[in-house]
Amino acid sequence: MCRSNHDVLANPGYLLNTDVRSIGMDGVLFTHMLAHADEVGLNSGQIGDLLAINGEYRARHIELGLAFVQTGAELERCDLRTVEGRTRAEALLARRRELFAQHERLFIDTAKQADDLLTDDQIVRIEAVWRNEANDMMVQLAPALERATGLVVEGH
Amino acid sequence: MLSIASQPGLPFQGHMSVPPIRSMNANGALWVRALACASQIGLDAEQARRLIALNRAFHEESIATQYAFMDITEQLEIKGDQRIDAMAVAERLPLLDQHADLFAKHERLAYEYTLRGIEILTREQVDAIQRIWEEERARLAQAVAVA
Repeated sequence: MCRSNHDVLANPGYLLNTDVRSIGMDGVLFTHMLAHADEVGLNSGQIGDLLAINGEYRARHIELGLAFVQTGAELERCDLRTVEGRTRAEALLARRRELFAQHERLFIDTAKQADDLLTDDQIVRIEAVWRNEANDMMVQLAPALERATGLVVEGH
Repeated sequence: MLSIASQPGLPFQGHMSVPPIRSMNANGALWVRALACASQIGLDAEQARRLIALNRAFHEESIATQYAFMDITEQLEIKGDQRIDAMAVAERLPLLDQHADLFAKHERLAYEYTLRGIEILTREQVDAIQRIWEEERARLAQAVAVA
């Protein structure tokens, strides 16, 4: 799904990244694909459709994000020394799990919508663009990674 | 004005954008404010020792949960030029469920260890920590408002 803009996995060092967050992007999808529209061979219709899907994703992302923030703010106000406060906190935690699940599902469903628009050849091309960039990035980062971990990065 | 093009990249204007859907778990460190302000809130040595022990247990459980979460994140990825078709989505639904469970577990750890810390402290100490936090937050909000 890196071709749909996958900021959690797109970094070569992602296996070191253990942040517990949704795989859904923060509101902007397909920028990579659109930036390489010529190389990927996107036509005007596809570009328009990708932008429309992105717009729908962003609107829903904002709805879910705001609901998520509100639950966090309310959780912060719960007095955990009282039974009422703890009961409310439990309900809010369950709600946050639900919002998290909806956000990840939104992302994967949106990625599928975009995938449906593309030909097999375009998928191969966008994957090659992403893979080359990832490899270049890995080469650039390898010295820092080696210094940080003491491990030798294979192929560097 | 730059924020009309690149809001996420601008940390001080960034508070106006929707924050990421991220666990509220403090990445392995709880009660740091209480410990940093130990003398202000009248924390005795035994309380400090117990909070530090609690923090260590919290950290270990959090990290184990994060590794499990990361493992699922990696499995969710659609590799190479595989299509994201109905089957690819269907195969990932159980993984998404496990991911959400681990997210909830990660948040619950922060909640449960907060409750356990509250039991170590007196009511007055909890109130004092709350006041210190609110003052810090007000100063931060003021600085951001000026920016």
